[in-house]
Amino acid sequence: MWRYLTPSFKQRFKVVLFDLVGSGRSDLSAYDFKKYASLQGYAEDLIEIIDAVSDQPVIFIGHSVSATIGLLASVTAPDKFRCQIMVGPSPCYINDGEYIGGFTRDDVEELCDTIDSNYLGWSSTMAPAIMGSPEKPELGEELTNSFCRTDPEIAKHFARVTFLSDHRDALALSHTPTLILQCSDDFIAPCTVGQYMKRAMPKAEICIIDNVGHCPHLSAPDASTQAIENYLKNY
Amino acid sequence: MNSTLDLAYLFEHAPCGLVTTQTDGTILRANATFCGWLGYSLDEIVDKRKIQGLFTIGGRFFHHTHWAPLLQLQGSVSEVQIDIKAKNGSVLPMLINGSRHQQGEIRFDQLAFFLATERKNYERELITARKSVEESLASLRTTQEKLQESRDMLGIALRSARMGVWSQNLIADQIWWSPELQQLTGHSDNEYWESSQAFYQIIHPDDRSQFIAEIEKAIESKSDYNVQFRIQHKNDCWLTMETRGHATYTDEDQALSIVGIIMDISDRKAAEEQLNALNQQLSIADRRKDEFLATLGHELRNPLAPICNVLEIMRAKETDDTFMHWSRDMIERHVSQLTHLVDDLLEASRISQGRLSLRTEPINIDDAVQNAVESVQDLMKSSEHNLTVNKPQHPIIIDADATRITQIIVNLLTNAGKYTPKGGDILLNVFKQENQAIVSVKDTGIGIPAEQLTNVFNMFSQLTPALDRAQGGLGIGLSLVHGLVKLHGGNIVALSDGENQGSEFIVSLPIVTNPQEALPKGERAEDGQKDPNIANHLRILIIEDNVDAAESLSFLLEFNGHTTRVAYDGASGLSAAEEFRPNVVLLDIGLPDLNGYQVAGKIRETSWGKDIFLIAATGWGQDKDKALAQGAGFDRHLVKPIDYSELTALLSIAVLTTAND
Repeated sequence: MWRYLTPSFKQRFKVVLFDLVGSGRSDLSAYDFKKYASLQGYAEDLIEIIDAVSDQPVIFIGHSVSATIGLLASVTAPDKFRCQIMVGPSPCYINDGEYIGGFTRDDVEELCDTIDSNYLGWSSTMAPAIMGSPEKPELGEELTNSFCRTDPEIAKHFARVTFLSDHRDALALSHTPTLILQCSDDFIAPCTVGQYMKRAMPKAEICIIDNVGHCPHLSAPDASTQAIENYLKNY
Repeated sequence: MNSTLDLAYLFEHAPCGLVTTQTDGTILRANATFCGWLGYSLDEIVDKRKIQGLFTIGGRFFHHTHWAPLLQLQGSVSEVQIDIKAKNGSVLPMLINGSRHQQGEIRFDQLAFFLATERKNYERELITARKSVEESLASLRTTQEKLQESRDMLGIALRSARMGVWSQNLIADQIWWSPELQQLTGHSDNEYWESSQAFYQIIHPDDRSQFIAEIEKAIESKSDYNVQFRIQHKNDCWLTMETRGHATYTDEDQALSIVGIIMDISDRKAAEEQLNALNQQLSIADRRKDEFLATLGHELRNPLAPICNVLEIMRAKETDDTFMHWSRDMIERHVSQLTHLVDDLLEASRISQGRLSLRTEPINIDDAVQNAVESVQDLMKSSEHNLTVNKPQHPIIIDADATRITQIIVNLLTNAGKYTPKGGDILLNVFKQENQAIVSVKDTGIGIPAEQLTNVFNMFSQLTPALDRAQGGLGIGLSLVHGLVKLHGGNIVALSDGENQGSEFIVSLPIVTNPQEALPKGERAEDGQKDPNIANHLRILIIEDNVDAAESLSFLLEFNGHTTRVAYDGASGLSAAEEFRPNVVLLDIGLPDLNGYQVAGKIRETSWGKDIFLIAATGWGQDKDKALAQGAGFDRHLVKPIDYSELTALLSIAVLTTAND
């Protein structure tokens, strides 16, 4: 997931990578449906991780829903954050009046249904994908681990919690210096969302990366690295 | 054949959808198959739509999160399953293979689409099947958990009730014990119980055959068995067990097995035994108390006899000495009161010993009321109480012992007088209510505290308050009333609004439902019909070890014209009888040498003693004593202290008897 970015930062920083509980190589048995019924549950985990790895404020880089988790943690424990880089973030996926999150509630319901009914398809597509890239098997494996939630119940639950979340209120409460990495064409987090966030957050800057998709750190790693490096010069 | 044409045709009508896009997904080319599936014309999509724009939301997500990065990273994706929305809104499941190409500076993606409806349906079925299996498994797991839970609960229940379960396979003669039972007996090693022979070995030899017989009986009769037996614990001590259960049978009625529970009732047994022992001690103590009270009454009565006799003589000897008059009256009053108390005590103890029997007959309750009121008249006068009596307008007939009913009313009135200050009011109401005769005695006295109301009828209930109350007593009177009312099948309640609020005692007695058939008898023939003169010339021998009692009685009888002799023990009594040849012998039962029964027997054995009128005088006055007296040959029986008028009545019977000879 972060393989293109880590080499640039490993020299100067201690880099800590982790999977959210319920995904990747995390301990699935630790998934507590009650605790993770809101993203705040993950934010608490993040604060614990920070406490475990550093006694200094950290730079937190989070992608998509993880950026929102970082946002919540920075509100709860502002002292633990030096700054945060939010890659393709969205505080709310569903349109609400003038707010354009990119999805209607029906879209989100359909998406959750898809995850439910298409679970077999989603998980099994990865194997041929790996086979299609015999020269880089480790890459496929990494993607499998990153993208695939091996437990369908967790996947369903996680999708609902994520896509039905609305943390727009938290934006104004986070005084942590923030860089929003916004893709120029992101179906999941459209530009309107990035602009909204910049306006709502007291210390936010936005950097638009020319990229189609939701994963600039994968599809535009150089631009992403550059943008982060530029930003970190000030911190 | 034109190979160029063929290739174009093959492209357009390939059995799969073929699409070329820019790397951002913008559609550059699409074949007819693809357009046909989706219902779009080429113009509608080329350069106008991105391929992901045709996907469902889920598909677009997948495209975003998997497809695009994979294509970017590894240059190809294969067998990606994505749903596409056709122009008419229908959803087509597709399997897609894609690869990224570069020609010169231009990078583009080539995509092949295969319809995957069947596969999708199949997958859906698979998912459904898996879900249902998962649900069944989950439900099975829940059931198993619940079962285990109830098993645990049952185990706890069995253990805490000191129970276990056993069964016997009658065909294989194999016995199974539940862990609880093994724990209970200490026999976890099945060699001691697995076969019936082994099991019987640890059953107490005295109980073994009964155990086997009861089980066999239950098998035979297809009924439940319930048998107690002792079983030897591993540590050699004996446990008392109870087992209950039944047999199971095949369809052909062949007994298959025995099932049942075995519970350890050792503690219960021990408690039962202890309780029995305590009960026995208690009943012994109770009996001793009753015996003590009876003895006490007897002992108190003895000294009263001579006093009564002397008083009777004094009354007969008229004197003008006012001091003598005053002394005699006072002694008489107190002796009468004392006699009354002793009588009550004796009767109350007789009731509690179940030795009092009633002589019931249909009576008009009014007569009893009349008698009672008369006998308390003097008391009421001296204590300045205002007694009001409301009698029924019509006769109320009850099946009762008239003397006892009078006694009940007298006791209630006396009690009211005792606890009502001078000048107070006492109200006696007698009336009929439904099929009950009600006698109510109400006073304006000191009342009864609520907490005392229930035990006011217990003997000794007055004991404590008596210490600080001048009018205190033993509570014998009310206890006696209660006992007598109960003997009559009636009921009594005490009512009071509290201290100094007066009290009311309400007696209800069942009335005779058909009074026409049960009119009270008139005067009885034996009562007072005799000529008292006839009875004045009898030869009477008094055998009594109490010298005072004997001499005073003798003096009194002589005074009334009889000839008397006195003896103080059995032997001299016998010789006196032989010499004196009396008409009547008044014989005390408790003599120092022979007892009265023996003396009576010896008199009856003689030629001259057959017709002597023998009267027993006992202090016990119990039915048993009367029966004994009758058995020993006595004609009549009197309770000490001897009531002179009773004795006179008996003497007149004696005259009739002797006259008949």
